[in-house]
Order: sequence, then C-alpha cells, then structure tokens
Amino acid sequence: MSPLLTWNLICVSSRWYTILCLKNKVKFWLGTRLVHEPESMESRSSPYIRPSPYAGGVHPHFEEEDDRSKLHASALYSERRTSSRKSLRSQKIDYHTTTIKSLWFDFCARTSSHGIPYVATSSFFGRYVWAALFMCMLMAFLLQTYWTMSEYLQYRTIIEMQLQFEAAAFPAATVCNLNAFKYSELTQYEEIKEGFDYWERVINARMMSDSMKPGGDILEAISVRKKRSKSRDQLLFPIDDEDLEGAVYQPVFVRCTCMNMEQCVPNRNPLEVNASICMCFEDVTRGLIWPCYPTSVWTVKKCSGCSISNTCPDPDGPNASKQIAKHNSPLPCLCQSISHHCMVHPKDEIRWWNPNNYTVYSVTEPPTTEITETEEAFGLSDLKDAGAITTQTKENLIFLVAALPRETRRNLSYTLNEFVLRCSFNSKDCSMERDFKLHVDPEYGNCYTFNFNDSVELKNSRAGPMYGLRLLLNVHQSDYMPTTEAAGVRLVVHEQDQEPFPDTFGYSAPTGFISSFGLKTKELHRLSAPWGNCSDTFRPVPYIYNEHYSPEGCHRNCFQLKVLEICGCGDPRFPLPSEEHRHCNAKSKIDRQCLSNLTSDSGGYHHLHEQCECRQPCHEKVFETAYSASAWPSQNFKIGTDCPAVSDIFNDTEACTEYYRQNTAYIEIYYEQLNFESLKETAGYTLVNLFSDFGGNIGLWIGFSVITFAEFAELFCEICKLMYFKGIVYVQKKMQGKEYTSSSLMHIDFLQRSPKKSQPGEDEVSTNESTKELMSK
Amino acid sequence: MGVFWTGLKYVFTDFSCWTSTHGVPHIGMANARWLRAFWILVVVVSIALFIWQFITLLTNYLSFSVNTETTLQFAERTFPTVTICHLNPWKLSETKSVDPDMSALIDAYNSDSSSAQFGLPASLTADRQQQASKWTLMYSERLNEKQYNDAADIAYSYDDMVVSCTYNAKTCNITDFNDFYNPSYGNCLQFNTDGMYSSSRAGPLYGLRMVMRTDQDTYLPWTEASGVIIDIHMQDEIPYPDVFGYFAPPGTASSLGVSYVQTTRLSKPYGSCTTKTKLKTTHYTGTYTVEACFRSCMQEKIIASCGCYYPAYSHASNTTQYVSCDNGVQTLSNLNCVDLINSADSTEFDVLTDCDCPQPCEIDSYGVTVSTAQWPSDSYVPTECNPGGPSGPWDASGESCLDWYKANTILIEIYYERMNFQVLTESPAYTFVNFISDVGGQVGLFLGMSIISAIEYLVLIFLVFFYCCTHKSRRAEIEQLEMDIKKAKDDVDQVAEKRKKHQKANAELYEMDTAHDIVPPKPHSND
Repeated sequence: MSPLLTWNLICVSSRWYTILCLKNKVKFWLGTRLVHEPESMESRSSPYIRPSPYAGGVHPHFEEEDDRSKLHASALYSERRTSSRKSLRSQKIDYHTTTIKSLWFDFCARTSSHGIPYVATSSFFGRYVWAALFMCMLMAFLLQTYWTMSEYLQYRTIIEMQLQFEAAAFPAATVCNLNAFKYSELTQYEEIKEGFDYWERVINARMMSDSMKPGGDILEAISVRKKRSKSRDQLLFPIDDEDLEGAVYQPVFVRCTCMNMEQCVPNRNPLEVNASICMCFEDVTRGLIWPCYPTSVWTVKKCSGCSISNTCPDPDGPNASKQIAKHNSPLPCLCQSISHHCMVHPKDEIRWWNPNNYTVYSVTEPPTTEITETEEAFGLSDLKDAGAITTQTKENLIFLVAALPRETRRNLSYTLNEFVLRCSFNSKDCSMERDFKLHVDPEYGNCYTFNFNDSVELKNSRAGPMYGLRLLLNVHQSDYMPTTEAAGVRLVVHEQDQEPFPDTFGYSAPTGFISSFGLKTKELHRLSAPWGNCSDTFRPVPYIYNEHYSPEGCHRNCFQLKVLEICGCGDPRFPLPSEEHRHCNAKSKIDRQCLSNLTSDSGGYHHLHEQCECRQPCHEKVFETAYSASAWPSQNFKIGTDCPAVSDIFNDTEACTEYYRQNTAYIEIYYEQLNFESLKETAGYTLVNLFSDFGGNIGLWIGFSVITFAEFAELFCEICKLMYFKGIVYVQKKMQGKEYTSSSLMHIDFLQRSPKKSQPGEDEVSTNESTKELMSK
Repeated sequence: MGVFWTGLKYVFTDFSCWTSTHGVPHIGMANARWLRAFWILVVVVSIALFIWQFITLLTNYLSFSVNTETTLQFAERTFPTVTICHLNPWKLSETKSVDPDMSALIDAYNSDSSSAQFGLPASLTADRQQQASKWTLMYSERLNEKQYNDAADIAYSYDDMVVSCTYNAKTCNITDFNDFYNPSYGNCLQFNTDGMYSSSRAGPLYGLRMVMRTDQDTYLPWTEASGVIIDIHMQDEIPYPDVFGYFAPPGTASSLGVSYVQTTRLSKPYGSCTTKTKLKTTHYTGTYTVEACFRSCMQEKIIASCGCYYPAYSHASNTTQYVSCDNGVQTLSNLNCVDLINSADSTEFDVLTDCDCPQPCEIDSYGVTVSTAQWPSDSYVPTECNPGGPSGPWDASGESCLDWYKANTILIEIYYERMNFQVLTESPAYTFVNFISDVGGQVGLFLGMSIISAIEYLVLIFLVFFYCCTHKSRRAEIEQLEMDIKKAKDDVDQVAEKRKKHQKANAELYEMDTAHDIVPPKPHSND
C-alpha cells in the first residue's frame, strides 16, 4: 500500500509544480521589474535625454521590447504592460518631452470607455471610422437622454385603484328640514311679516293680471251698448228710452294695486296701507267697479255726444270725427288715454268707494303713489314668473333672518325633539342629546349632525340596512312657510371633521317613504408638488368656517371676503369672519344692488378661480350614495293608539297613519359593502427610474460610467499640469538664451586649444561643449 | 510571510490589469499614493451610490404594486338572475291560523303592554319592532317547513305577487320563475336562474317588465314599509336581498338600469384576495362570496357559544350533534345569546378580525341605477279595471279599482343600461424583469460592471484560493532559484545597454567632428 500512496503523491506534486511554474514565471517577471524599477529608471535617464532629438533614439526602444518578448512567452498582457509603463514614464518626464497628443494617446490606452481606445491605436477599420462611429453613438445617447429627461420632467402620476377590506368608520350624517323656519314663529316679527305681505301682493297681482284677459270683453260690450243706443236714438221710439236707462256710470276713487301704468286691481282689504289710488268706472245700478286706471292717466276734457249712461267718446280719440254733434253745448267729462272712453264729470265731488260702510269722502286732489326703498330692495317688481318671485322671496327671507341674533334664529327653527322622532344605529337606540349636534344653516335653518364627534369613532362592521343609521323625522308640514315648495328632508353624508354644505352636497328625501341610502366609500390620495398641487395644511387666513378646510369652503370664503371688500357688508348666506363685520341689509337698496352686481359679474362664488387660490386636500374621503325607496308606513303597521307625533289624533288608526305618511320621512343610511376603494396617486416616473434608464442608455450607447467621467477629470488635471511645466520650461529657455554669449566665449577658447586634441582629458571637455552648441543651434 | 503577501499583491495587480470593471485598473496602475487614494475614493463613492439606488429599487419591487387596466367590451350578455321578494315575509291571517307561537307573538305585539315571554318593551319604540323582527327570523325555518311540507299558504307565491310579466317584449309566466326561500323575506321569485335568457339590446323595452301586487292587508303589524326588494346577481350566486337589495315602493314605476363590471385581481404577494371559487364548511357548501363566508363563520361561533344553530343562517342537517335555537322555552335565552354575537357592537366577536374571509380574486358585479315615476298615470286604465272585468281584492276593500291599483301595485323594469361592460384587470406594476433591467442600468451607470465582470471576480477568488493552497510548497526554493536566474538575465541586459550607450556616444563624436569643420569660418567673419 505505501508505494502506491507515494506514487499518487508524486503525481499530485508534479501537477502542482507545473501550474506553479507557470504562475511563478508571471510573478517573477513582475517582481523583477518592480524591484529593479528605480535602478532601471536611473540608468535609462541619461541616454534617454541625449538621443531623443534623433530618430535613431526610438530604435533601441523597440529593440528592448523585442528582447523582452523573446525572453518571456506571455504575450497576452503585453498591451496592458506597455500602457502601464507609459503611464509611469509620463508622470516622471512629462515636462520635458510630453505633449498634449501623447497625453491623449496615453489616456486612450488606459481608459475604460468603449470605442475611444481604437481612435488612438491602429485597427482594421482605422481611427477615423472608429471616431465617426463613436460620435454617432454619442449623438444617439444624447437623443435618448433628452427623451428620458422629458419623461421625467412631465411628473406624471399613476392612480392605483385598490380594494381594501377593513371596518370603515361610519361617516357623519347631517339632516335638515326642507322648510327652514316655522311660519307661526316668523309672523311674530314685523319686518319678516312685511316681506311675506309684499310677496303675497305681488303674487296676487300676477294672478289678477292673468285673469284680466277677459276684461277686454267688457270694454267691447260697452262699445256695443253705445252703438245700440245710437241706433235707437235715430228711431225715436219712446219704448227704447227704457233700455237706455239700464246702465249708468260714474267715476269713483278706489284703493288699488297697480302693477303697471295701465291696469289696476281694487284691493279687497280696505285697511291695508301703502295702497295706490285709482279711478274706476262704477255702474251704480249693479254696484260693479270695472275697469280701473291710475289717477295719472285721467284728464278733464269737453265732450260731446254723451249717452244716457254717462259715457262719452274721447274728443281727441281716433273716432272723434265720426261723431255727430247732437247737443249744442259740450259737457265737462273725465277721460283717460288708454281705452279712450270718457265719463260725464259729476256735478258734485268725486266720491270714494268703501265696501263696508259706503261712506263718501271728499277729495280735492288725487293722492300720489310712491314705491318705498324697501320694496325696491326686495326686487320683486321686475319679475314675471311666479317661481322666480318665490325664489327671490326666499332670498329676501335669508337676508331678513340673517339680521336677527343667533339665538333668535335658532328659536325660529325646529328643535331636536320636534324634528327627530326615532333614531337607531346598529339596531340600538341613540341618545338624542349625546349623538346629535346642532348646525345652523342659512338656507335650511336648524340641521342636526349625527356622529359629529371625531374622537368617538362608530364602526359599521356589517353591511345592510339593519346595521346602519335609521332616522324617523317629522317635518311638521302644517307649519311650513308659504314659499316652501317641497316637503321632505335634506341629507348630507360627510366626514366628521368636514363642514356640511346641504345646499351643494345634499340629497333630498320625500315624506311618506323609507329612503335607503347605500354608501360606498372612496379614499383619494393625491401627490403634492412637483406632481400635483394638493396640500393638507393649506388654510387661507381668515377662514369663515370653524371646521376643517375644504375646497368648497375656500371658494365661499373667497367670495365672502370679496363682497366685504367691495360692498362693505357680507353675504348673509355665509358666515362673517369676525364680529366687526355686518351682513348686507335686506332693506338697503345700495347693499342689494352691490351684491347683485357682484354676483352677476363673477358668475357666483364658484367662478372666481382666477382670483382665488383653493387647493385640493391630499387625503380625502368621498361617499357615493345609491338611493332606493319604499312606501312608509304600511297599512297594517302599528304606530300606537296614542299616535305619539300628534296630540290631537287619539284612538284613530287611519288618521294617525295618514299623518305619518304626510309628515314623516324615514331615512336609512348604511354601507352597501364593507370594502372601500382606495385611489392612490403615485409618481409614475421617479428619480430611481431616471437613474436606471440613464445608466442603461449610457452603458448601451457609449459604454461610459461615473468612473469614466473621473478618468476624464484625471486627463484634464494632467493637461493642466503639463501646461504648468511647459511654462517653467519656457522660462528656462530664456535663461539658456543668456548663456549663449558665454558659450560663444567658450567656443573661442576651444579654437585656441585646438592643437591639444591628443590628450584624453581635453576630449571629455570638448564633448560637453559640442553638445551645448548643438542644442543652441 | 513577506514573500506570501508580496505574491498576493502580484495577483491583485495582475487582476487589475485585465479586469473589465471601471475604476479598478486605475488603482493598479497608479504610480503615486495620492493618485491611488483618489481612485479608491472614486470607486468607493460609486459603490455607495449604487447600494443606495439598489435598496430603493429593491424596496419598490418588494412593495408589489399593481396596475389596474380599464377596458370597455361590447358583447351579448346573459341576463342576470333577478330575485324579487316581498317586504313582508308571511301573511298575517294564514300565519296566525297555522303556527300557535306566531299567533302568540302577533297578539303580544298588538296589545300595547310588555311581554315577558317575547321580551317586548312596553312603549312602542324601535326596540319593540326590532325584537319582533328578530323573533320572526328565529321562527323562519319552521314557517318555511310548514309552507313547503304542509302546503300551508302563509308565504307569497307567484300568483300572489305577479299581475303581468314580459321579457324582451314577450310574455313570461310561472314556468320562468323559481321559488327561493330567504329567512328575512320569506318566499322570493327568481328569474333566469339557469341563464337561459340573454340580452342583445339595451333599454327598458328589451328587459324584464313586471306589474306586481303588494296586498298590504296581509302585512304583519311590525312590517313598517310596503313594496318589494330586488336583488340582481350572477346565476351561480346565492342572493342576500337583505344586504344587497333595492327597494321599490307601490304607486311607482321603478326602473332598475343594470351595468355589468368584471373585475380581476391578483393574489399574493400583490394582494390579499383568494382564488378559490367554492366554499365548503360544515354548514355551507356553494359558491364563495364574502357574505356567505361571514355567515358560515358566525354560525360556527353561535354553535360554539350558544350550543345551538341559528335557523336564519345556513346550517347542517338537524341531528343530535346540532340543535336548533328555536327550542321551546329556551328560545328567548337563545335569542339573546345569538343577538349578542350578531350585534355589530358586540365586544365578544368581530367578523373582520375573527373570520378569515378575503375577497375573491374574480368578481362579476352588477351596478344598479334606480329611478322612479308615478304608476299608473291618471289616464291609464288597467285591463282588470275595465267595466265588466274580473273581480278582485278591490271589491272586498270597498274602494275603486283604480284607487286600489295606485295603492297596491308596482311596475318594475329591469334592463341593461348599455351593452358594453367594463373590465377591470390588475397586472403587476413592477415585475422581476423590470427589476433586473433597472439594476442593470444602475450597475452600468455607477460601476461599469456586467455579469462578465462578476465572473472575473469569481476567477480572482479562485486565483487567490489557489495561491493560498500552493504557496507553502517545497517548490518555493525553485522560485528562489528562478529569481536568481532572472537577475542574471537582467544583468546581461544592463551590460548590453551599456554597450549600446558607448556606440551612441561614438556616433555623436563623429557627428561633432563634421560640425567642427564648419564652425571655424564663422568666427573669422565675426572678427
């Protein structure tokens, strides 16, 4: 066994020896060169200086290289070693013999970029082809970099839509009555009652003007009657005189409401103040008063051809020439310029019409009618449509109520126990005082917010109507204002720290129905600068709302501040920033005109984008609602014998059910599904992507890297150093120029000593002198 | 030791000469300490920058973000399954005559006093109505058994609900509908359960159109609303109208516009959805939905806590192992126990944390838009209200036929709003290929390396390893000998160089003599 083991060891050793010999050759060569490097440099320095001006000096260099290649058969790394030697040499002797060109060649030999080494060395295609190829690739790289930078500077975003599955927090719900204030409470205030009276008069005037269209028939009937009277006069029969005595007209003063300058309507309420005065045709035999004209259009004239009924044609009218003068002397008469009918002026004073006690008052002059500033500020006289009149009255009401103190405004509207009859959340009853908060809205009065406290989080961990919020709301339709067109409630679903805006973000729910609002939540995440313009901490100063910032509140705040700046008073639909400011007065024409002009010029507070800086929040929750309804209450549903909502109805099931159907609305708010969508905005092209793409491009086209740029920096430093040493050499040349005179003197000495050539010492001295002469030449 | 480290130095210097990595050759070629330090600094800074970028890329890759692609497709689609339920589950008079417990519950609710047997409070509040509803759910299974086994007419059938029906402008009848039992709403009607009907056109004329009756006289006293509830779902899904249904009131024409959305999501590691399509537990076997998974999980919890199963949820067959909570005198305590788990405010049980019910990865959902109008109009006269028409329930109630129609009938239209449907598909936003590409860009930018450079480093490791294994060999003496030979050769080279120098000096001397002949005349001219 032992001889076999020995033989194996010998084989292994021989293999190691072979590989080690190959490796050692390389190492020995490196070691030899590095160890003897200083000596070789010292020994080479003197001969390298002398033969450099001659072409023959290069020849020994190549011979040395050939000798080394013959000595060592390792040609694989010869180029690297050559470049290494060049690099070492250039650092030592560059200030004497090195030029920028040689530095460039040395750089090309050692650079790590692709393509540049072939520009300075010989190759198959030649240096010009490689240079052109490199320039083309450089152009391609720059073009690609331009595209990459363009894509990065767009700052585009990607919206990720994720479906998250968590217990979503229940939002806050604000409910309002569609009728803002109780009518019975409003009429106790004289100013507000005056507004309602004015609205009623205008509405009645519109209805009167609509029914005045058959009024023309009466005028035509009068004309027909006059024609018949004329023909009968010509017959001269005694029996016709009795027919002529059927109608007798006389003028009478009446309190009227004149919508325009042509037609007037008698007032039915004789005690009403601020009424206009008009003069009417009165048929004394029947008590009819029609038609009526303003007192300004009546004039006294001389008429002829009057009938037995005391009506006369207008002497200045279009039919004046056709009349035949029957009587010789004209009579005084009252004429108006609208229908050109006249009446015989009575011998005594014109009396007043009074439907109650028929008292006749004597009037020397007809009174004049003036429109007060308050009525002009209300702005109802220009409107024609009944809906527009009602809407304008609603706005007037907002102005009037805004002038009242806050406590008074709260008392005008509904209390919590009046409005909310039942409340349950997650099948449990709510606590009325703890779970609801009052929110006074200018348009909807008292609104109540459920789940207002953001420190208390209500979780809704089940889907479906049974596990949400259920509210039974009593709207008290009998106490509605006459200007309220619809019966029901207004609902806003919002976050707990957000201000509810029922006039903008609300849903209406009718009475007599169970309205189911199925919620879906969407979380929005936006990016701030430079991708977007959102900000979570943005809040303008001053800000008129107490809750968290929202873009809707920002637009309203901007409009309110603009109104305060220009008009000197605030819009009553928005809060005031401080106690020092006041709302615009409803009765002031200047205030209303200024606010109206500002609203029409800017197009409302949602069109002030040029002057308002309103930012979106970076994190937002949006609630989408799906609505469906079912009839409430059902026929057999037991409400109770005492009918809790109404104290008058007792032990009458049908009347109680009918009251609930007319006056209550049942609202269900629940989560349709427990998952919610999360829309997150992320950067589409980040800095990391930019570096990756840039690195890929630069590696693909020109093979550069960051270290390659450092190589170029090194080359630049070498060139600067070369320039510095070139300057030193230039200065030394000047010094050598001064020595030329001394060398010429030495030349003279040399000529004198020429016969002594045979001595060895003289030979050495002559060698030095000849070298200097050659250099000077 | 000196020889070892010197040799190792030679290995590294040789490596720096032939590697393709940027920067390392300059460290090897530097002839001054400051230059070598400069290049080492450049390389270290580049490596640091690369590590920073690599960590960012790795974090971005490991976040597994997804992209959602939205496309619109246009195709003929199968009409969805429509489940229509009455809002009142059981008829009043028939239920009282069939079940004595329900009769007792109805009598207790109608009297305005409290009831210890059923746990009803005295005042007529929401609690009273909710408690009665819970009792109805508890009794739902026995009432359903009596409906189907004893043929008792306590639930609403097709004839009780439907007045007329058309689909795609053609008449449909009772054969097109299937019965479906729901604990909350009793018997429901299902249309197109087998997917036989499809829609090729959009609009109300080409959908399902039904006139339905509500018969409010037959309502239970705690049913607060009248109308029907409609659930629209896929053919293989079990409907839950108490969660996903839409109401329709009588006296209105309710249009339900349906739009189809197909969603495909990614599972781990991109999302948390599940790819299984079937759910098989002890108490439920069928298509997987989140609501079905929840109810199965809650049923397990109810059985574990209360010792009986809840009849309103799906359960295994009634054996000695599982007993119903509807159990005679113990029903009230069982109801309280079940309610404790069912309640959303319960601290004992949370369905989101205690149940493992992820979203399915593929969801086919229908978005519904509800709009209403008045039904019937003042000038429309139904065929039953014509003079000489058939007698109906309005004769018994004493009101006119038109008034009865306004108060008790609903027109329902269910149709596709548009024939195109939305397809949402999730795809990975940053795949492994993108990651490799970006890392390659970073490596090329900062280090100038590639995979071949990595292989070069492996070769270097091998060389160092081999050198360490063989440097202690007895052949070291031969190395010394060869070094001496090298030195001798170098000496010979030096001697040769000296000779060349002498030759050059002689040549220069000859050139100097030639120049010497020319020089003398110039001084004379100067003199």
